[in-house]
Amino acid sequence: VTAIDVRSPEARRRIDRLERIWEEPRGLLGWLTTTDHKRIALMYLAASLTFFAAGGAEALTMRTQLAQANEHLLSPETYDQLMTMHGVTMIFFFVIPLSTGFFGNYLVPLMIGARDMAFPRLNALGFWLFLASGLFVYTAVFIHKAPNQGWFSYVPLADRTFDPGPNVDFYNLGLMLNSLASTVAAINFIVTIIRLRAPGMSLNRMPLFCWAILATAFSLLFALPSLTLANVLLELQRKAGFHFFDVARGGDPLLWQHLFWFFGHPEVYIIVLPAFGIATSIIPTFSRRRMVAYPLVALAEVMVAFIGFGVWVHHMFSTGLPSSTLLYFAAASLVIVIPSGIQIFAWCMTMVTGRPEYKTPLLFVVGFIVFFVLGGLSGITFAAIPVDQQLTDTYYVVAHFHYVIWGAAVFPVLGGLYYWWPKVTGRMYHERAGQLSFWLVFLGTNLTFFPMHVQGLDGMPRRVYTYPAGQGWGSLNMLETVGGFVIAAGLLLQLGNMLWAIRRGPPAGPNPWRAPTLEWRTSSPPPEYNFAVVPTVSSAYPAWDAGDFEVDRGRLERGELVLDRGHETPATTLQDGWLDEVLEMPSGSFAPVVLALFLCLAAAMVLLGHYAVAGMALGLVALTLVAWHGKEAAATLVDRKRAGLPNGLWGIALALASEGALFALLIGSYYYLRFHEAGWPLPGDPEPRVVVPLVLAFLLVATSVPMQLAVRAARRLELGRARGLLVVAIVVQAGYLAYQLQLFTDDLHKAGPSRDAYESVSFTLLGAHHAHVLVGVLLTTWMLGKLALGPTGYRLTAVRAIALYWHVVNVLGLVVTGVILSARV
Amino acid sequence: MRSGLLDTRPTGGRRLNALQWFGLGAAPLAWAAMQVFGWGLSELHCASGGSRLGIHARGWQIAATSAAFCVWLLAAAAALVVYRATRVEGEDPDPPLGRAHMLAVASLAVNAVFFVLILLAGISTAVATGCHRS
Repeated sequence: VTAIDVRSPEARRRIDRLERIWEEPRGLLGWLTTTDHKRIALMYLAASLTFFAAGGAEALTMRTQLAQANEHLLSPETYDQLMTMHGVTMIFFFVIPLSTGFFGNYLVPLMIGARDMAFPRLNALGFWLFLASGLFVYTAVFIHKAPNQGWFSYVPLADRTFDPGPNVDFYNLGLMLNSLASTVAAINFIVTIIRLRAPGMSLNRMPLFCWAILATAFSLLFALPSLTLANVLLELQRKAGFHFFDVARGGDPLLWQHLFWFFGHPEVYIIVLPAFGIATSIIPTFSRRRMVAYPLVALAEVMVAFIGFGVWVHHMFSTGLPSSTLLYFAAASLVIVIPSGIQIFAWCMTMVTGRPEYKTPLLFVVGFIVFFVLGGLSGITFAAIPVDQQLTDTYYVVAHFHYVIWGAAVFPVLGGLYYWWPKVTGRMYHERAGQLSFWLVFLGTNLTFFPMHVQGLDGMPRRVYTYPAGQGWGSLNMLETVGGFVIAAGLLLQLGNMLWAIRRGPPAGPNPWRAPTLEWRTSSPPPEYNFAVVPTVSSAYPAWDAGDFEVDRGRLERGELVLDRGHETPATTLQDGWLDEVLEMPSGSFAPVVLALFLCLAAAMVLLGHYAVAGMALGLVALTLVAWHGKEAAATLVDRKRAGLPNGLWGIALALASEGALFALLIGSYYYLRFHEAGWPLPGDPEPRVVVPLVLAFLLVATSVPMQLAVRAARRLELGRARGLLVVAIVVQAGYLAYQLQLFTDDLHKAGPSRDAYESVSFTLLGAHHAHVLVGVLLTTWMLGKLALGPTGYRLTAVRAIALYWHVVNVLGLVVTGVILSARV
Repeated sequence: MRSGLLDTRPTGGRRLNALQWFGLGAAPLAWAAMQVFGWGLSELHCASGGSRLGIHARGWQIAATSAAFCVWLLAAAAALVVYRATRVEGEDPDPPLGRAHMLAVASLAVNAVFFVLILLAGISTAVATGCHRS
């Protein structure tokens, strides 16, 4: 099976038109403004591999320090920073950006037959924010003020009392930027997968890799608010004297652990799920057969992500929680093995019943299965509460999570790099060198991490910068250090092999592996427009369907679904992939990189305590957003009839779902603190007002009526009426905000948030809601200006999106008021 | 023309569609609600600020388990109905039946797993409601 060969001059002219339409500027300008998912993916690849090199160097330095007892290569302070940076780098700046940022971005549109991601500029913004967050945190390394409390940054150690430098502030602010990057990327993946699949690609024909990315994206969307909230609360405590985690003022340090691990455990699956997707792509190709139990594997990927949200407390089994609490989470931690087991059996059965050809990518996947089983088995021991309580904080834990995160998550990624390198570069790598690199990394991994089980059982604590002689740990530590360098040798060989392929590798052709998914039905590397004709799909393995290929050839000749009139891609229905509309996609822009720059500037100014400048930077962010949305595609001048919701509405709905999760967690934090105190409000705190906040909350809810009527009027193209209704809404909303801010300021003078935990959490809750109202007022004002310019499909969607935003903010207003008033009960 | 284009779009049947999503999602959501409720109740029961409320934790936890089990039962029945109504021949059958059948198979597996989860959590609440901290 090969890419379509062009037979007629008319087909050639169509392809020439596509090339002209999708061409992007070359050079630095092209990279800064690109919205092509493949180029963005390549930038993710370059950046994440650079961070990987930094994280690897940190690991090797630590292993050298630990090779013998009483080594003094590193001071304790430097070791703490290296250990923290290793964890933060590998998780936030290497594995996730590589597996979702590179593989996800490069492959998802190709695998589903789309020409780009649903929101190309948002895609670019995600990359630039990720890069900004990485550079922001690494700035701290160069001034020797790197984060130093471990990747989980537990309080009270991370509080200003014990860590007065800017180290933890770099961590908090850097991860906030990183979370924003991952959230926009997650929204983009979800909308792309549910809306941009090629016609015919119903849910039962979607590639398993896309199921994995979909599950990952949903996990990111609902897990990241917890990390962001934890970072915000800690930063407020450090910078503004709030008391969320301060026991002396009614706070609770365990609240940090709950928030962190509610993110942290799903994070493990966020890291591993794309690896599952890579394995399920590689195994059928080299086994020459379809994946066994496709529905169950797809389901297992989603189920792992879902149950992953219900097991976080197993990271806290030794913190003295009630026994009844522990049992709930022990049960869930045991059952999550089932979906993982389903996949392991499916992978093994596919290989056993197929004709496996052990090329380098499949070798890495076999290695992954071995490590996943071993890491899974040691993981089960942590679900057993008494065992967990004995082994916690020992090297056994380090062994377990490296088998899972390094062995199970990174091995498929390394295999995936070999597998898709011919697609990305158009060149084949050197097979023998590839196999040698696998064996080096496989042996090195076992040498490094297997002895840590023994050390942990022998009582060696983790997070120590050195250890005394005579404990019996010296020889195992030396072995682990040697293993670390063997891994490094294998990785360097892989890097050399991939670079060799770019320069000297033999041409790969469109499908060198005879692989089954759609990305192999286009040339290697793919053109900017991905496919000359929107591909036909009639199974989950479309590149094995020779008949579909003939249909595509005919369509290209006839000009059917070539979409060569503009920057276009088809959109289809969610469940069954029926063609719904043709979308005009935005092209390159400076706005994403500029926006990321201003956000990073705001974070830096907060770090330095220049809050006014940070505010100005946020103002520039708002102006950049206005410029971003200044130019609309010509094809969106009319509102179309469609079966599904427009992409913009999907995007805002998902963003609001994530915001809703953040508010739910903040409200949960409020009640967590409340019920850990004997009295609430705390002694001496004024009780909250009742009548005025209730009246204001209902007044705000009432603005949903003019907002919804404005939507209806706009859809009927009665723009004057729509603008009038928006003005009514905005007057009430602005009045509400002004009055609330006055109350807020009065309360600040009576008893500020730095008084105790009750005041801290109440002010934060109210402040978060007021900030959302402020954003809503700005959005409605912008919408008024846009509607004055006349109707377009884009603007009609924007009116609906802003109305949806207000409905959610209004309901949240009622809920927040109820929570604050509940203190009187 | 192969399946997949506008002009041949059949509807899957609203009732079947609703059953399909209920069969797939209800048991996981019931378990999630039970987990959050059970955890919250346990914390509340044992926390210093909650003890004054005099909550009968075991009774509420058994009620939550029973409610989750009832939802599971309905979800399993829905999954079975969709499975039986959408049996089709061959691999990768055309949507909407092929899609509904694939999701019905997944729903049956989901319900099996969540039955175990609800059961295990339920047993846990029956054997341990104490505030012993280790």
